[in-house]
Parts: sequence; C-alpha cells; structure tokens
Amino acid sequence: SDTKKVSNSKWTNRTRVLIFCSRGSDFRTRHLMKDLCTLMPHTKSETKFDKKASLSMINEIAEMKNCSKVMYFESRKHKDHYLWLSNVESGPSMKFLVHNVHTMDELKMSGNCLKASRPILSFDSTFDEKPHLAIIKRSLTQIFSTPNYHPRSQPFVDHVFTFSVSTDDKIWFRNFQVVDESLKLQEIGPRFVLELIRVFNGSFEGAVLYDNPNYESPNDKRRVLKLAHQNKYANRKL
Amino acid sequence: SDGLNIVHLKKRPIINLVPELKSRLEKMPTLSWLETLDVTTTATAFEETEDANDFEREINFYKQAEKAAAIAVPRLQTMGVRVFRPTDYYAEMAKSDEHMQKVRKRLLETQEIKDRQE
Repeated sequence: SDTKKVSNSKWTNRTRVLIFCSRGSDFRTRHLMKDLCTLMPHTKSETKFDKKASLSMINEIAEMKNCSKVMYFESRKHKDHYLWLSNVESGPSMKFLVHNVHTMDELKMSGNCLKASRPILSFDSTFDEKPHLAIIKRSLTQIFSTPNYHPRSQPFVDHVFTFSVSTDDKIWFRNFQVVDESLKLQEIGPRFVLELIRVFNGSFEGAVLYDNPNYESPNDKRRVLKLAHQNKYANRKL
Repeated sequence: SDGLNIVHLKKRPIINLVPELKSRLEKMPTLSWLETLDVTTTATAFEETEDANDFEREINFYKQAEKAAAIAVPRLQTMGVRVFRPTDYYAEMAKSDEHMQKVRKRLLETQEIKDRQE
C-alpha cells in the first residue's frame, strides 16, 4: 500500500471533464458518449440537459460536479448533432457540427485497449497554422488527455487518439491501438468528424472570436435540396 | 434564380479576430508533456472532395498515428514510463471478450470468402 500512496501523491492535474447530452439525443450519440466515458477515466456524466434552459446553466452544473471542462452533445430534430467543447473557468468554448459518427461497438474495428489507459494525442501540423485551430488544439489536448497517475487510469500507454484537419477544415478523430513494440496499429474506434461553427470567448457565452465562413447549417442544406426538387412535376410537363 | 426572382444568398459576416484569438491562447494554461502526451507531426495534406477516396484517407490517419507513436513511445521509455503492459497483466478492456470474439469471427468469415474467390 506504500507504493500506492506515493503514486497517489503525484496526481497533480485534477482536470475533470463533464460529458453529457441534451434531451432528444439518438442512440448513436449516446453510444459515442458511452465510448468516450470508457476510454477516458477522468470524465463524469450527468443527466440529460433540457434544451429550453439557458446554456450558461451548464457552467453551474459543471461547477457543482467539480469539472473544469465540458463536452456537451446537443441534438436538434433527432438528426442534427452538435458538440460544445468548453473550458468552464474562463473560456473559451467552441461549437461543432458532428458528422459521420461510428461507435466502438462496430465489428469492423479490430483493435482493443485497456479500459482507462492513457492515450498519446496526435495532431497534424495544420493545427498550428491558424489561430482558431491552435485554440481548438489546446482545448482538445486538455480535454482528451488523461491526467498522469489518475487513480482510475491504468499505468500503461496503449492507444493513440489522432486529430487531423482536412482541406475543408473539418477535424477527423480516430483511435488506434498500439499493438506491440513494433508499433503496429489497429483501429479501436469510435470515429467522428467535427465541423467548426464558432469559437466563443467565454464558456457558453461571450464574444464570437471566430465564425466559420464555410459552415452551412443542416437546415439550409435541406432547404436547398428541397428547392432543387420542387419543380420536378412542372419541368417534366414542359 | 428562382423562376422570376433572383435569390440573394445571405452571406455570413466574416469574424476572425486574430489578435484576440492569440491573446486568448496565451491565457490558457499549458501542462507538462507527461500530462498530455501530445505529439504534432507534419500533415500529409489530404484532399477532401465529393468523391474522396476513403481508403487513402484512412491510410493518412494511420500514418499520422504511427508517426506520433514512433515519437512518443521512445520518449516515454527514456523518461522511465511503462508503455507496454506485461503479458500476465490482466485488467478490464475497453471492448469485452464477447465483443472481440464477434470481431474475430467476422474477420475469419471475410478471410474465408476471400480465399474462396481466389
């Protein structure tokens, strides 16, 4: 028990992340949340959040739960999923649209890792090129890294979280197992893609520091599609 | 245009407050590398187009993760951190044994189908 005491005393980074979602979230979002909770021992969960309540309420909830970081999944119309990442104490926060979610339950991903082992975080250098991406990188680093000597974590490093930016400025997340000392990898899952909407100065409030000019809301996309098809009958008659 | 009317798409105002973003970043606390284990590698920029190649993209992610592991693992080992778990170390895994058996079964099935085709 002596060694345990020593290791506990070294646990200095007390970052905790609150992961929760809004009412009306679908199964895929819930499974993704569950996956993230199993992979990250420094997370806490909370009951579903009522969308009618003001977003700044989340800051109070996080404070009551002793969490300094928040991942909040917001669902609209049962089909559009947004993700908020926030640093509760002083900001910033950012809102993303979530695309292409695959969970760990899928059979095509053949890797496996210890529950709650610490990950290596891998970023591509595009993150350092633009100021808003640099802020996102810092936030992702702080949220996804498991604190050293966290009491619920395993003392090994056997998987890699990768974050890559594509040419259309979307952030792709993958999770790989480091199989053995030859450093061969196998994918574990989950997968998701984040499209940035905005960066705010405060936590769920404050001035907009960055607004993605290429972002198109899913409502607008659907509207355009509908408009394109609206004169189908008239066009055929002509 | 939309029949008789020309549709003007509303443009989003461009907001990119670079100095504020930079000062914001400086205010955010940094942690030691042993806490975060983050590795930044040069991007193998991949095109994201309508008919992008899924396979190529995944290869890119794999390569990035591989590079990161190749940097981080030796660094951890020189710092005296245990990276690989001993073979006799048993602990709860992220995916259950039951699930992994299903995965293995599926792999075998796909392999069999491939063999038959050859």
